[in-house]
Amino acid sequence: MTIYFFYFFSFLIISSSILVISSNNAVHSVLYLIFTFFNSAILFLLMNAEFLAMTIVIVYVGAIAVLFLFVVMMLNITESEIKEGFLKYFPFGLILIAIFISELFLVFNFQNFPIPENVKINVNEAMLTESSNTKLIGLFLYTDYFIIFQISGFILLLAMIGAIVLAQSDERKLKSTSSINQKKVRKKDIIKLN
Amino acid sequence: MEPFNFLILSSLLFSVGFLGIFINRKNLITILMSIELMLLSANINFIGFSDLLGDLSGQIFSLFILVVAAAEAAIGLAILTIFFKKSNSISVDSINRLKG
Repeated sequence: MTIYFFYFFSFLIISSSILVISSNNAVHSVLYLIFTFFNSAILFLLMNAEFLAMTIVIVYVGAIAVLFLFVVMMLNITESEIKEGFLKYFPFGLILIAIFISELFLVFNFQNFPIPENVKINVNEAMLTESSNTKLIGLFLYTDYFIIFQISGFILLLAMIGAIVLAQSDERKLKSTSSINQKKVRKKDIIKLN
Repeated sequence: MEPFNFLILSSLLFSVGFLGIFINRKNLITILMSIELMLLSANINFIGFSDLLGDLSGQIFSLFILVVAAAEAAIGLAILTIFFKKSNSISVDSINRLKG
């Protein structure tokens, strides 16, 4: 039963992702992107990753897709100029993708796929003591993967500072007071008694 | 072959993202969306193997991919807005003025 759900949602993911790259209107392609992310969240639920499924919905749909939508609305691009050069690059890309997919399927070698015996964090063992997926991820994220967690926090800080600095315009149009000039003011320069 | 269905799904999704970079030469926003699709396929691969092997590390690494995707989208869209402000278009072909 689960396998049919898997097939159904994978079909939805592939078809909506094709619509993302082939849609003429940028707003439509952002909406198809949101649909793709929702379907992949359902797929993650089928793969026993409940916390990641909800994080996908919050981060991708709630933050990234809204950011895309905001930029698409702000830039105001005309639709006609978008689809030029389609035939120029499409055959070349198709050839590259055919090579890529055939290489991948040669590498996969499904019949005798090497499955390692010892895993780092065994879910079935850990599930005996803790019950929920979220609790388990928190348990290992803040202990074994603590350094990587800190580094990812720094990456987010860097991205925030970088985006603010890039989006700032060069010329300052705000009227503001300079504290150095304010300190230089003497009483005899300003107040005159006649 | 049945437990490896997610490998087929993620490779197809990666190829769709790859094709999206090729066919959308006039629209930088769609190229950024294609990169998001490719990162999503990497996530599907990690979580599929996490389910197959019974290992939680895949889910934790998928969380880090999510962080990198968010940072990449923020920086990419900021660069896109200042590029649009400078050149009044978002075509890839007009970026070659960055050559000295």
